[in-house]
Amino acid sequence: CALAAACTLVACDNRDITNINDNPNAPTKVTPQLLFPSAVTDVVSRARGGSMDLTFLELWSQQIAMDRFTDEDHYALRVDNITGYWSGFYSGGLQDLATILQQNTAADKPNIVAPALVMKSWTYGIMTDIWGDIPYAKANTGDVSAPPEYDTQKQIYTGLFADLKQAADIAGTTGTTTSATASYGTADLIYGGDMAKWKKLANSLRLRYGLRLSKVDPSTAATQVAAAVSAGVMTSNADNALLKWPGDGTNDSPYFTTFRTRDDQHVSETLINTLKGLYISISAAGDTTFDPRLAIYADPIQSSPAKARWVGMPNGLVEEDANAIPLTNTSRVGATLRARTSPSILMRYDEVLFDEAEAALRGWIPGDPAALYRAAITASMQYYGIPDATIAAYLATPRVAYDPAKAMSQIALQRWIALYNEGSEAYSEWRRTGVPALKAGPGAITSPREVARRSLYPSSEQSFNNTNLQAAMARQGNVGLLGRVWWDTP
Amino acid sequence: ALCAHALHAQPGVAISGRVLSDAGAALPGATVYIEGTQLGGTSQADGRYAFTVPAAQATGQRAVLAARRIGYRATPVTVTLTAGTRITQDFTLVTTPTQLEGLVVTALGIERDKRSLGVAQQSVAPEELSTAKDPNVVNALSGKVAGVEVTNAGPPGGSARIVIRGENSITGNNQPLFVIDGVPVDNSAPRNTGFGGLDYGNTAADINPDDVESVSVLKGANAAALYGSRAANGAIVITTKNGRGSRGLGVTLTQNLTFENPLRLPEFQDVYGQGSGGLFSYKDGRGGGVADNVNRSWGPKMDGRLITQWWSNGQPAPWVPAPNNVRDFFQTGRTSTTSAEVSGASDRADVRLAVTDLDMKSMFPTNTIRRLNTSVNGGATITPKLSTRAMVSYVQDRGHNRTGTGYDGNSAIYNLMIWGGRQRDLPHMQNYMAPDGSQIAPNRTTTNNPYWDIYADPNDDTRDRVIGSGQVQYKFAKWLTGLARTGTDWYRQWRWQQFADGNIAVDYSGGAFFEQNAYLRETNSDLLLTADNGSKGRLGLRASVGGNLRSNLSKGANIGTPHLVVPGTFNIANSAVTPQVSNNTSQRRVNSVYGQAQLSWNDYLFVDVTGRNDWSSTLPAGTNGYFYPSASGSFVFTDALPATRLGGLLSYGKLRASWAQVGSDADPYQLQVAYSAGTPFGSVARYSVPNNIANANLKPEHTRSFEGGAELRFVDDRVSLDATYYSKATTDQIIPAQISPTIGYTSATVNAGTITNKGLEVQAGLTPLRNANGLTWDVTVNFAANRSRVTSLYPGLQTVVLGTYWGMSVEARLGELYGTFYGNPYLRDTQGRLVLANGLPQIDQQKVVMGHYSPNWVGGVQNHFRYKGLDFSFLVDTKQGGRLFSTTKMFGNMSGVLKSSLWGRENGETLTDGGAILIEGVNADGTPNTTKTTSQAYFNALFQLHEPNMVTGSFVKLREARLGYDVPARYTRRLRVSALNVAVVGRNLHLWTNAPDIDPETAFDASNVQGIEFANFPTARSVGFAFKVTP
Repeated sequence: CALAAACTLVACDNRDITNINDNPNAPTKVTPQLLFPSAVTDVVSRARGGSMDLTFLELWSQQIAMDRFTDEDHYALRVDNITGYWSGFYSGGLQDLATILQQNTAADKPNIVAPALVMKSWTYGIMTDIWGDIPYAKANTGDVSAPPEYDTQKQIYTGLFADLKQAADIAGTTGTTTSATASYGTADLIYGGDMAKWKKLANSLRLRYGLRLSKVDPSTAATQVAAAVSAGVMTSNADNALLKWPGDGTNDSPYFTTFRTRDDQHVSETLINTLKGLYISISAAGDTTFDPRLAIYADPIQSSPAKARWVGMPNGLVEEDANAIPLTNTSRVGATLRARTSPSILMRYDEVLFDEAEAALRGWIPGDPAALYRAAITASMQYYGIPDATIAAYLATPRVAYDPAKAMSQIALQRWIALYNEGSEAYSEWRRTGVPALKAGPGAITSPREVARRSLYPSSEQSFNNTNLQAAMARQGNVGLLGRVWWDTP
Repeated sequence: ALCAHALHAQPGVAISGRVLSDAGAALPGATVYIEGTQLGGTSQADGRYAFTVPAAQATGQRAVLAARRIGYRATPVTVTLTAGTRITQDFTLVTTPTQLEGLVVTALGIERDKRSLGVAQQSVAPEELSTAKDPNVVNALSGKVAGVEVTNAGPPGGSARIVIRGENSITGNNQPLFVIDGVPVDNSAPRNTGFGGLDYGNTAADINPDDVESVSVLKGANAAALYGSRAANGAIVITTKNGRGSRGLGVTLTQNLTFENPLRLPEFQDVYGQGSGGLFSYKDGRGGGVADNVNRSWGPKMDGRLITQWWSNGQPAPWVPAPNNVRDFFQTGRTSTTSAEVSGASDRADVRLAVTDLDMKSMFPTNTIRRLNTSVNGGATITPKLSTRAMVSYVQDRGHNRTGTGYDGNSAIYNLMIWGGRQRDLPHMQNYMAPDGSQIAPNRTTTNNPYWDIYADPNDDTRDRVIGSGQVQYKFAKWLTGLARTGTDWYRQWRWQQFADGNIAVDYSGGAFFEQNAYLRETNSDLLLTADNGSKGRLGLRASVGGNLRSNLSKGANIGTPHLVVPGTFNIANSAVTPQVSNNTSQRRVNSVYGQAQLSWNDYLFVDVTGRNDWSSTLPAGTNGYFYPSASGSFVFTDALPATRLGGLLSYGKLRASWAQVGSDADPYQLQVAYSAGTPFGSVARYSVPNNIANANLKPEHTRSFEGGAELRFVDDRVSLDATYYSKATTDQIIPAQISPTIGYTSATVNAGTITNKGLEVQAGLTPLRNANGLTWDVTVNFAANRSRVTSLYPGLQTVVLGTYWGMSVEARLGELYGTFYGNPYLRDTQGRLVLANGLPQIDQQKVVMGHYSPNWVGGVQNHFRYKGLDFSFLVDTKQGGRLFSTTKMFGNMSGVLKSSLWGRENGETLTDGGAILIEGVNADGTPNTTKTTSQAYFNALFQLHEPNMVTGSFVKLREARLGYDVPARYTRRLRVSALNVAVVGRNLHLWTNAPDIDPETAFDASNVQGIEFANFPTARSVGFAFKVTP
């Protein structure tokens, strides 16, 4: 009878007990309005600030230099950090975006799809520029059976152009069904649901990536640049794509988060000397007018508070040489840029103008390169609230004034200056243009001792996707620190 | 269970006497009965027993009267039962440290004669648990049972990990099930963030060693299949003491008092002080001076030269070493354990009440651990057919200022041991707070003053726990017994951490606090029906069927904030930012039916079969049931074939074999993708795709295990040998397999992977001395070698990474042993020469296997000497083989605090000098290196390299020693006590190892990620006294 009792007790609900296995802690379905802000904040905080910019991209573009823990500054990359960046992008924001794009169609919900395509392209642009060939077309499928193949950077750029074109084409249109007008609204942390601005950002990014092919494939570059500009790019600082952090203690600017307890990064000597007008390749003799952005980009050194003085930290020192320099003797990143609410920059109007200036100079689009160049510098300075009179004075200084003979490098240098705090772009533009002429620091472990030209692949791919990784490495040739990505031709 | 019969219709045979241990002490709890009957009694606190054989059953026949007690060898004598007579029979029972024979507790709490078991079984006597009492009962098992490996995480009150016969599961729990009086209890380590946090210990540590009557170690699926899924890793079956056998009032008082100090600290250098490149000058601790926020000891030589220091108010002060600035931070620990127990019994009922107070003031200043155990165990025989028993135990476990572990800027140990200047002296450091409440610290940018950590940022925790069970047993017939039992394990844990305004390591401006509440409940109900023919005749038959309902519930609720408005008010309403709040619930149910049958022939041949079917809530509906059987046999060949005794050389010989399978379910909520909530961005809510892909089609995983062995005893049992070989495999494991994140997830829940464990266990016993004058010397040896190998994984998957620290992965890698290290070696050319850059070693980005954490073998040797009332024992145990990734070495050399970092410092302290060290190797182009470098740059370059920081995991420890004395009766009578034992005890008394600077028996926590070490809290060496008084 005990057996019967046991069976009665036990057999009563052997099937039904699985009902308690519905997860009470998290939902199994969510809307794109919940995923999109997660995706945007994820990819932006990974690419900007403490994650990648301050740990190597801004060091390698020599806008920031390490004063402590100088490993990455002399190119001794910690491969597991690289794994973290790589893994974070794919399984973080990119997967949120992929889920949105899998669950929503352009025909049905264009204003849900368009911003997701733009953010996906922004992210993949940064990733391919530092890693070269990466999984793209077959990434983020959720298909566990086989890890994705790597696409060539050329294929990825083709994809970026197509996605950005589609995004610009559908942004602001009406879909085919009752949910046709669905949009992100306030869940759009960049533009608050303003689809006209997403359209401009899509075209502006297409301009950015088009120009990046200027050396490797000038005809595609020219085509994409012209198409992007004629489709309508940013037209004022009001169009800037910025992520404005609430600064509420949980959503703080990545720069703030990095610097609040640490002081390991100071402004690079290369950047400060450039802003001081001392940079050799451009400056006219005797011109010591400071770039008015200097006081915003960098704080005066603390060892002489009475007199505003800016001193940069040299890049690429070994630990003990860096440690020998008191932190009060070199400049910290400017206080406003380190503020809790300091915005992260996805793309700004001034970059668009610099790109247009270069494109006009190359004859790819109509327009006056000189005017565009001046407008670009003006927009950059206006972004930082610099008075028009100061801007005008700066534009009039001999080394800044447009000089047709040096126009290409003037545009490149000014764009590099303007791209402060956008390490990925400053680094890519330096690789494309060679301006400014960066020199590797004395501790550089590259051989020959030159500035690194790409990141290493993450070690995790050796473990989990090695066949495809090896194929991608083999076809790219040198994938060491001095190897070059496809568009970075000598 | 035997009950004293109290029917005196007419005078029968009054049998009485006293049971003593071979050490001469009264032995309570021994059963004395007439074999083949149910007539008998149990010895009480003074060792006395008494029972009566009814006249009807005393017909002048000869019978065997035997005394048995768990942990002692059964002792039979022959008596003649004649009605109306009295028999006085004393017994002296000899302990069997290796439990050669006699009663043992098996699965479901069934007591069986060891000879009938087809599986290896080892028991630990309560005396062995309390030889040199460790507050954590898991640690007390170390070295005492073959095949059991214990790793202690180190901090006072911290967790210990126990694994039996190697790891079965790739990412799941690998520790055995703990069962107390038939009720499974929790041994999780909730929020055991041993790395970079606080280690709250494993919850089996709540078990009070003083309450333990016996511990049976069921080594894996073969012995434990009846306990179901969780017993695939074996089971630790604990029976608690009860009041049976007491007559009148039995009272026992025990007091242990031990003192602790660090067994080993790293060897520090005392030549160079803080700084970098040989330079240092303090200005503001923020980098304003020369290297004054560089927390390393690469500064000037400490030769008494005058340098401005952090405490010297801008004035130069002598630059001299502070050689004891780590050792002196620790205080002498003190652990006091006070127990009182009262027990009593009538012939129908018994009860035992015990209270224990563990009061620990640890080596870590301000840290205290307090544990109060109260337990009641009582039983009653209501009618001859109906008996009941109930047990309840309440535990309160309180911690104050537990030490942080691992890489944690708020851990005093971290701030003290790894970073800092060797000139920093504790007297100056002790001034940690300015009058305005701000922190005074040598470094103002990254690390706290360790005294700030302990005084300004306290933590507290309390666990209130109740374990209880009740059972009713009914004898339907002489051969048929029914048992109903229900039990629960229930606790709440509250944890609190607060941080004052002024923390330097983390921005907690305004102050911060974090509060967590955890709740856990497991309930089990069993019905069990047992038929037993009482082994009448030559054929014995015993069969049981039963059912079990198991229900688990856990809940957690957390609140906290990193910033407060008004400093000092630690309330969530005072949060300056959006507070951090979260909660979670997890639920599981498992229904089971099981059965067991045992056949015996002539008491020398035994066959057991078991079967169990579980239905789990965590598997897909409809396919959530799974069955698993086991079979075993035992053959005592020396009884069956007396010729095999070889003329007495072999006194006992037994062969056994067993095959078993255990199925296992998934964790809750593995079948469906659930989105992760993010903190709102301003007012915008966020959800993201989780990192793991769920799997709607999970199947149960299975462990299949074979074991075979022999038990042999020679020369009148003075030499014994018990050897077991086993081979087992766990297949279809439910694992979060790591996948390429390019798929969009970092892991996928799959049914894949096989781990095989093969091993050999040997227990040997030797009695080199057994003199008539009472001197005995017993030696017990435990040896076990296990290889836990990953033999298959998910298709295309080479490895499952268990954890990664500083780029070093601990992995379950295909074809390798479980717990393999995968890290970066030196970059070498094809000829094996180091390839250098700038004169420094480089990292080879291609990681390689660098050994494994699991030892090649573990062993222990226990020596036990007894002479009259004197008792001396010591245990030496060892792990041999296996490696550790020592980040104490890596960080300590990089930061220049370790003595080993003195290498090459003397000539040339800066790179601008060109340096003094020429590393042998080649440049990228193959030419010999001619670039000199410095010691500082060299050790900095090794910082990212794993190869030079691998150290041996081998060690030998003098684990326990005890010298005890049973005060003879002639003195105890004068003291008006019936028994008194005094002892000197010690634990972790000495360590022998080739690992530099550390105790290799160390871990961050009790997880599967073992073998990584970072400035771990030093092992406590403990020495003290123990008193046991029976008034």
